[in-house]
Amino acid sequence: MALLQISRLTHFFGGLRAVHDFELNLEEGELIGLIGPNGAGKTTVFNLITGIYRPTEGTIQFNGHNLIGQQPHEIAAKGICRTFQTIRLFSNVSVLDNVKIAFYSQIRASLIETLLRAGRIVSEDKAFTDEAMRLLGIFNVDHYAHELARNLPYGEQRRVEIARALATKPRLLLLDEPAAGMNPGEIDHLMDLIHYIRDEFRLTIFLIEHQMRLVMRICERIKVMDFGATIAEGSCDHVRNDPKVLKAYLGEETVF
Amino acid sequence: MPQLDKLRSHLAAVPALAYLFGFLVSSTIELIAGDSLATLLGLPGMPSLFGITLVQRELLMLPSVFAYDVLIYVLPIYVVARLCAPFIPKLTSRIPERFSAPFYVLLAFLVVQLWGGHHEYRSLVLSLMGVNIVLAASLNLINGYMGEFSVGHAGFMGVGAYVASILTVWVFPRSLGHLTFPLALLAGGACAGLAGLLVAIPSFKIRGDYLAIITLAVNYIIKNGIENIERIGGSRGFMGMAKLTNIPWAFVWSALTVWLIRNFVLSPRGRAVVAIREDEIAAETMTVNTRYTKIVAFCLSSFFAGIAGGLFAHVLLYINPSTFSLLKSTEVLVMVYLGGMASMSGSLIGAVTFTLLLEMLRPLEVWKWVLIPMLLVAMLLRRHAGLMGFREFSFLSPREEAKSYGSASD
Repeated sequence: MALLQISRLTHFFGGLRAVHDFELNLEEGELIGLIGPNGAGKTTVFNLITGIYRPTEGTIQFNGHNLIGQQPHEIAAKGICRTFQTIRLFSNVSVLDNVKIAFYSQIRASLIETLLRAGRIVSEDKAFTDEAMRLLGIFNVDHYAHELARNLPYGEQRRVEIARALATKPRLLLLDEPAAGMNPGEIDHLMDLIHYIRDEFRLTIFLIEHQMRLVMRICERIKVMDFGATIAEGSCDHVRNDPKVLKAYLGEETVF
Repeated sequence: MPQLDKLRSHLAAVPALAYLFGFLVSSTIELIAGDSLATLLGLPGMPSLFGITLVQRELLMLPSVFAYDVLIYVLPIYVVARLCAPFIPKLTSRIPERFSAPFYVLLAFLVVQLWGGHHEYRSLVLSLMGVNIVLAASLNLINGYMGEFSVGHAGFMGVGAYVASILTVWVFPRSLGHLTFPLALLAGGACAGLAGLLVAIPSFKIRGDYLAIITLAVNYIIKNGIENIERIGGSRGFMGMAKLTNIPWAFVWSALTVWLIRNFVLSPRGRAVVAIREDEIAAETMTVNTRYTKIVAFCLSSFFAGIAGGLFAHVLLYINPSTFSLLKSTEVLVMVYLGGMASMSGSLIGAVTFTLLLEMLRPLEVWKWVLIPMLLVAMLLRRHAGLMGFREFSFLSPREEAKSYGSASD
């Protein structure tokens, strides 16, 4: 059975149809890209999957559970985590605490233990610190652990954001334009990183990206959206030569 | 000013513990010789708050007051602190780590009790100081750590004050006074905590300025509600309480509040509160149950406000609904912002400074309310995060972190 099954997903903002009959079947371990011109509804799809918006119509099944109507934190705890188009780290909090916040669903100590700083709380907090440092180490940002997140360079903030997302122990990772604002060298590095975390954490990855170089090189399958509708789907070569896609992108992208 | 910096570093070279010992000795000296020294210097009596109120009434007393302060406070504290300083490291190394915090607290309690226990007015000021510490620490959880702007803290204080007073006056036998007092306070706190839901539930949907308006509304609902219950005196107020709040109770409750809230904000659940301040949607995405976290934060905060109310009612022995109006809420806000956001040390300093200023400037009467806000504005212009914003004293920082990463806070 597919890990994520979306069918007939439709969402309206007032009278505007932002997403229309979106279908997706994601198998465990896949790496899929979602592309399309600005305003095509890509981020809306992410917001619908993660429960930030409630869809007007359609169903979303994750690992056999229905996600419609669930709170975002419940969906996140089930194993879907995301990063944001504009970085949304907790800016006035240390990098270490940014990652530690993502362990929330793994807290076992009760409120009383928390208030009295007794029992499980101390060892649990220590375990969270160690795990967070390990994750930061993987992304090579552990030396920033006690720095406030807002003081980090842009590229490092992106990496911290991915580390934080991984701390929630996701099975499906949604990346919203991970390469935004990166130079070609950084993008090469990011591609290696995405491959690495997929294998290391056995993840399924679904990403939105404008950098065609990145999408074409790492995604196994691509979906193209325009004005809320899916206009093409398939392998990179297939999508690259699709007339509808060429039309949607005409004048904007010449890589095709 | 280089001289001032030199003096500061000279004084900072001595550990805080040494100053505590110094204050202990100086309070003992005052207890023994304070009255006679005051008579000798021509003062009308032992100056209650370092003679500052006295000087405002009669400027000519300045030399005598100065001499008294130097002889009783400055000199003994300085000399004892300097003498103790070399032995402090040896002493602290001999106290097991887990007892070091209780040891400091005990010493601080001795200092406070010795300085104020024998003096009725000082007891009153110290009791109010304790109430204010509890209020400022609990409001800081919402305004500082969670980043919502609550302006109705006095409402919850009022709930606690009335519930605790009704219990000690009508329900509990008077002879058991101090034994049942904690129960009355806890009951008051619990009711105030429940009232906190009035803000917590709207906060799911509403935030920022709009939530501030709701807290304001809740303050008025509680105040007007009490005014309309004739059974408990309505707008005439409620009295008949015994004087149960004293220095030990005020000290215990304020220490307990600061300790519990500090534990909470340092814990994984407390970090979720901070995450809500920083970015609520990102927090939800990172599995944080923001609704539950908000309920816990608001209820905890109003619980302690209720405790403060109960303590307050048993200091002044008379409460009426208008005591718990917007003005009181504003006072708490001033303490929080003066001391510093998201810092228990800040709430401690803010409450102590504000209480002392209010009492020391009493002779200025109405002008006090011109001077204190001006001081606040001047201070916030220089340090806009408050005196201790986002920083903690080392004794309030987590022990584990201080050890493994070196203490970043001061």
